[in-house]
Amino acid sequence: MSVHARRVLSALVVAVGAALLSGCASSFGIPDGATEQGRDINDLWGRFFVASLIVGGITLALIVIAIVVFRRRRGDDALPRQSEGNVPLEIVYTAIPIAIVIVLWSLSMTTENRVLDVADDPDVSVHVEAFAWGWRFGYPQEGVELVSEPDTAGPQMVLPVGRTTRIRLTSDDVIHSFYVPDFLFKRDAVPGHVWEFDITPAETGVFEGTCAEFCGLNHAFMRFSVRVVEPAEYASWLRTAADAQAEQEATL
Amino acid sequence: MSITAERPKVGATPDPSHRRRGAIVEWLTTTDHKKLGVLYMCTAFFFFLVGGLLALGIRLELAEPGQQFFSSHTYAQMFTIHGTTMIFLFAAPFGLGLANYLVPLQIGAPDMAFPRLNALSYWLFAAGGLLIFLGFGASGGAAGAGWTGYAPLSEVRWTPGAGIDLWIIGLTLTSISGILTGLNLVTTVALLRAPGMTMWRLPVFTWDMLTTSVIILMAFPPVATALSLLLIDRRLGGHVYDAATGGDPILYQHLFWFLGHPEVYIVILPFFGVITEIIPVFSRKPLFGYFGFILATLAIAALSMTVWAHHMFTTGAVDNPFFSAMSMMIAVPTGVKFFNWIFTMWGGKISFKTPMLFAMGFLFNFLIGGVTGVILASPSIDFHVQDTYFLVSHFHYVMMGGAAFLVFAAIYFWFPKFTGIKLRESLGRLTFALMFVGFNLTFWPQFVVGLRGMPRRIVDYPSSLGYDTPNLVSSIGSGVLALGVLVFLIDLVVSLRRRVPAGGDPWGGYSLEWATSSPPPEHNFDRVPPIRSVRPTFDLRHPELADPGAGKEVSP
Repeated sequence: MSVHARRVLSALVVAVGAALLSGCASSFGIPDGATEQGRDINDLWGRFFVASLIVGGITLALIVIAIVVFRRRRGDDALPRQSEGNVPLEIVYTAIPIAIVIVLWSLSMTTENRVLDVADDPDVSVHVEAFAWGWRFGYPQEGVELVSEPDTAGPQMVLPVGRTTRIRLTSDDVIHSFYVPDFLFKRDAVPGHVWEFDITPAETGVFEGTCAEFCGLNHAFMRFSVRVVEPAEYASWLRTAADAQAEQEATL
Repeated sequence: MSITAERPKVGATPDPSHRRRGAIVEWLTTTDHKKLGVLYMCTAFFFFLVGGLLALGIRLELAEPGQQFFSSHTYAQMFTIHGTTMIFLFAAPFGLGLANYLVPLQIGAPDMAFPRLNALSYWLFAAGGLLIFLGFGASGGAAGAGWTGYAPLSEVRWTPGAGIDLWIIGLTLTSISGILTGLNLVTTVALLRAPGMTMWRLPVFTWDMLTTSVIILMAFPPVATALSLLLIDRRLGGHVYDAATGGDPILYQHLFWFLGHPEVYIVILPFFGVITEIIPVFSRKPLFGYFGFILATLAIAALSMTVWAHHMFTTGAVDNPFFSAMSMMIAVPTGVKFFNWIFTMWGGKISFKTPMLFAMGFLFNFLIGGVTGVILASPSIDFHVQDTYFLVSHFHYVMMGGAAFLVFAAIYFWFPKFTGIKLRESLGRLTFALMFVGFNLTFWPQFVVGLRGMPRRIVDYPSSLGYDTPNLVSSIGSGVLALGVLVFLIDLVVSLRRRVPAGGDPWGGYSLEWATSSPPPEHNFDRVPPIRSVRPTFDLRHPELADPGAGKEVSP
């Protein structure tokens, strides 16, 4: 490596490093995560993003340096030195990626274990049934059921903030996927299988949801939303919804 | 060999129409690996153009929120056939076509091991592609369940038309075609190498095709099985994937991705070979770390069979930690290749002819494809980005910015060998510039909308979610990309009209195909030069540099 190339390389490494440090506070393009699990995933994403920038930046810098420094000058017809390899260097550039991969995988697994951890005794339980093309949200203990109706924005699931909710997910027909981008989480709804996972909303608000697995003609319009409210408001909403449902059933 | 050399000349017949018919019959009945290679590549490139038009239709619909141009039904057919075409009818067959042409030349052989089987492979592939497109004429239209054809959506209850049946049969035929070509290539490399062409002197493209063939032989039978079982479900009353009657749709995904992921390497490995032929020639150096490169190729082949379920992290039905570890690990040999390419250029004297420009573009695009691939190997991050445009963008950086850019590199590099004439360097540069800018303009915004949560395969999106501007930019970019392809077609026409002879070795090539005439004679070589290293044609040009001891084992 020539002195010139070495100088350009170190300058680029410093520049990439500075860019990284200044960008660390943001979410790098994804939602912040409105659940505890989502915030965990957001942290992991930040780590992967920074690692990608460093590894990608160094590799890109090497490519650019090679292209710029070692371009053929006009009229230079002599052959360059015909080197065929360098075993120590080859071992180094194999070993470093292995180390990076081990670190990234370990980070992934600790996050995944926390995200998929299910509580022994969840505070709320919601049954989600996907069908072509809509959603059925059931609160079995209270006898409340919310179903998609044609030409609407989809049903709205209501959850209390700070409480653990157990989602029990399945599908009536083809494969769908329950996806709330602000929760940074999706899970496929597969006919014949029932999946259980917990979400713990960390902030109040209305969060858009959608089907993420192509399921036929109205896939793009198979939407829903989740409204996260204070526990007291949740309790009163649930009472009202249960009464309304009971009344409706009585009139039928 | 001598038999083909004595074939009577076609020009002996006086009637010109008769002569034309003779040429057509000859192309239809040929068993020559070069003609079949050209047929393969032309057919695959035709499918690329058709698949590209479908993509432009998709971008047109997504440019703005609201459903302006296509019904949901038409849109589903468009993205399904676009994906199927690009993967099964363009990218993989183009690599196989290139191998058909080049592998016998690179090992100093007169033809493939089984020429007639080779012709059968081509015609099975062409028939398979035709059947898939015939679906557009069927009642209910062409297949519209996504290129992955997930059951139970692809079951007859949900998608009753004949389009999916034609899609299944077409894909099965192309799978059989791939298996036969794989067998043919393995046998050819094993048995037909010229004297002196040891395994450690094989050009990298041939090594990569050999490895690809082995992956094909492992991966294509399961997908043929998956599709056949689906056809049994659909037409013969089977219940393999039907949960209501005791079947399991997850099984389909396992069988499909057991092909589907190795398929990525079936597509990309031949083009790893392509770029590894191109970078050393234009850097005027040997490949840096040949042995390590081959080991990395073999490692990718082995690991490629253990990563399929990373497509299924969000199903909740697979062992995420295992498949995550394997998927991340496959980045290591891929990274090794990157360093092979970089350090080949390092200390070289690089000239930026069009093939090299496309190779540089590949390095940039594939770096982004590779880095996002490692991100996608993390299951928790997948919980957010799986089945969003982040994923769509990632695999286009691998398939389009990666493999397809190297299709163009390969065309610019070997077109003089195939035809004996040169393509225009100025138009080539323009093609590259438009394609590079257009490609990145198309797919960079898709990372942005994907991270915001826009799912793939939707015909429309609400305007309130921040998807509008990136989608518009992406659609504009696809127009620039298409313009680049158009300039390439103009280049083809101009170059074929006003011919500039290329000569046998226009680039100062290294491997054996550059040691014969352009185009090569029917039997490929009048005389195979001595093979004393991995660069026999280079040794011929630079006898002063050839290793004096290396050739001893070939003396009779």
